[in-house]
Amino acid sequence: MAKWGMVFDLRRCIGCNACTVACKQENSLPYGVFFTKTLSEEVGAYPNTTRTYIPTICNHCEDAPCQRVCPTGATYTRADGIVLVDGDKCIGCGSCVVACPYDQRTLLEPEMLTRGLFRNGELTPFEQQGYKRFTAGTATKCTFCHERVDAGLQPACVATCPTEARIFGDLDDPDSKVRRLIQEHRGRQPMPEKNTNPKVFYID
Amino acid sequence: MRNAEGKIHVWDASDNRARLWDDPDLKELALEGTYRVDGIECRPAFQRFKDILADCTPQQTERVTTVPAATVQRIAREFAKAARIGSFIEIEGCLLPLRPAAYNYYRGAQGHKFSAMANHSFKLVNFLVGAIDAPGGHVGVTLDDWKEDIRGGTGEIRPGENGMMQAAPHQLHPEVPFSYPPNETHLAGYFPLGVDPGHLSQYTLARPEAFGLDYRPEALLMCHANPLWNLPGSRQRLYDIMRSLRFVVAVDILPNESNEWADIILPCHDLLESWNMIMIEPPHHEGPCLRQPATPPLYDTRSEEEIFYEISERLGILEAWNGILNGWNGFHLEPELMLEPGRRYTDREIAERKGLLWNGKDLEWYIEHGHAVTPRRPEKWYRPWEGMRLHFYLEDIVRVRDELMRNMEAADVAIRHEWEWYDYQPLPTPALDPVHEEPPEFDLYAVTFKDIQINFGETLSNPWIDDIVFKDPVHTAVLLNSATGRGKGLADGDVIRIESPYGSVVGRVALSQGVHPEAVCISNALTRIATQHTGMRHGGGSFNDLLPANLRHTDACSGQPETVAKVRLTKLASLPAEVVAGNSAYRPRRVH
Repeated sequence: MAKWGMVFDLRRCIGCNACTVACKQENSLPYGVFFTKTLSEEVGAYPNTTRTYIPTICNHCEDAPCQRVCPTGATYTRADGIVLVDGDKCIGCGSCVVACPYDQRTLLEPEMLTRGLFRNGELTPFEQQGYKRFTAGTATKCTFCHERVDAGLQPACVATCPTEARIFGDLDDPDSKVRRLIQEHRGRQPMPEKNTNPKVFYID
Repeated sequence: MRNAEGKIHVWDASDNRARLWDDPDLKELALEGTYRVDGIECRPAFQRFKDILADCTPQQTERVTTVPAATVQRIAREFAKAARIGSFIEIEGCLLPLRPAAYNYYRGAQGHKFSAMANHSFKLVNFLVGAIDAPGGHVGVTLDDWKEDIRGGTGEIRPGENGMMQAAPHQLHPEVPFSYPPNETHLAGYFPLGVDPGHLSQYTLARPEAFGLDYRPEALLMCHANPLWNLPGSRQRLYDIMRSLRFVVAVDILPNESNEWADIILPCHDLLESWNMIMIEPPHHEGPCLRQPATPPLYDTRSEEEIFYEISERLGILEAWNGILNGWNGFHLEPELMLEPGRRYTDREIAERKGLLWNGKDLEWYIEHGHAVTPRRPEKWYRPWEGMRLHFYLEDIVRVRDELMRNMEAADVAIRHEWEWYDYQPLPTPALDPVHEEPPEFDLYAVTFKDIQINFGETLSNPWIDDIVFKDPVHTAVLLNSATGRGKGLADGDVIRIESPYGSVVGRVALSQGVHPEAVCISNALTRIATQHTGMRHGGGSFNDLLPANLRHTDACSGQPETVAKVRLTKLASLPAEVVAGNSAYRPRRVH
């Protein structure tokens, strides 16, 4: 059984947000809901200035605080390491949103799923189809595009990234690209002090 | 220097005498020096260029650009070294010069007065190291095969006189002939080398008598166009033009600043609802890509093809319309693909013909394969002009200038006395852009910029793009250098009026270390002013209002308008009510 993880190559990210749009499209995300974000920061002083970009997603932590605090077992970890939320079990208590140190969870407010993105507010056919996957009042987050992964595809953000700054693969496979990149570039997990053991690594 | 037959003289440094360029006895071309040929003193073009550069020292460049002379010199050295002059590479059996260095540039560098000279000077840098169309170098856009035989041969590479490549100035359409009174309000017929200067319509229509206009436009047809947003100049003047029109019709999928003036909007299919066959952007690859409907039309819309066929039929020009489509798409190259004069065709039929023209494959093949895109052959991708000489000294520009001058004089065009004749130069000169000569109280340069997500700004009405862009501080405030801002008593969040000699906009300030001390940077995301399209956020006014739309700030050679404005800043107490009302870029929004 694979243990899925992702590597962000910070040398390659150009902050284009193609990943963000691909994610929103793949997952029919309502306005204001993100499964991935690219943070940017201005660094240096004029004239030696640049912008740095840091992509972020749910880290699918090995020891996921969101899962620990979930009172109903709605948040669970699949055998392949993907952390998911069962919308039928989630009661929308918001504990996971607070517990996630990475700010990667969103509570779906009912109006997000009933009001369309276009002006008259009617749901377009795309939204009608896409919003079926969500349950109003529950928590949601990045799923590593598990349906795609189960079908042998890459997550949408990875498939879209024009610079190959996102690399997805099996962390347990010593020959996988993610393992090689983590080893060669001393991949770092976000906020290691939280002891969550993320399955997302950053290299630069 | 030419002989009586028009053949070019060169100087043979070996025999110390002038020879014709194709003289088999020519031994050594002189690049430098001053000589006498037929009693006339002359210099090789390279010497002329070198003489011009004597007035363009790094120190002088520093005074205008603030880039330190030492940096200019360092980059020049690094560039020349990186070009690896003398190196070769073999690609698919072709031995080619390898020049892994290039001066690459886009419209930001060209959208100015003297843009033709700027463009030429950039190109000459590549020229000097041999990086024109060489692997690793500046590979130009030789257009696709179709255009060699269609649209007036606009993309054709063919021999010209004196062993040189034939100059083909227009990529988009054949040259618009000179006319007086001008047939075009934007004076395209007066720009034989340039792009269509759409911004000049407001200049000519503001004083039509000066341009000899013996008519006034009464109708406007726009197809996916938004001139009221994207043209430089005064919005008020553009609005006056719109008010003067008797009938405005627009073909579009989204409301925008321009089509909200339309008497009739003909809504067309979305890209996901229609057929089209589009040539992939050359030069790296070539071949058509099929766009096919992902969904049936959601609303009562039509394809562009159906709309224009309907209009053509009602106007009684169906035959002419099919003739235009045959010529534009190249169907005339394959008689069996020719559109019949009296018939209407669907978007699907037109798409299929384009595919058949390219590789003989029908639409079913394209539906299965998606596209017929292949990498270009090396001989087409690299040095497609092999065997011809490239133009270093652009004599064509001078000839075109002289012909235009003759035409204007013969027709007694009054505006010729105001025409910017200096803009036509065979070699770039160190002329100063008039934007630098605005009154000194306009002490900063305002520029606009776009980001990857907002290529043409139209994408801002896409909720996914909106959700990203308006969370980015780069796109939610006017950017000002931190030290400059503090020096003017400005801090993050302050509201300012940005005023040029031609117009003004407002914005909220964000101080940045990433901005030049003399610049004000306004994101494209803050320039929309659409009112009917409430899905589109409006900013603090149109950046284009800051820009002039006149001859003085238009490159007469290239047709490019100025895209930078000198401005001054005034601190305001708050954002004007009209800016924060409704669908403002300055207001947070939860639901689109």
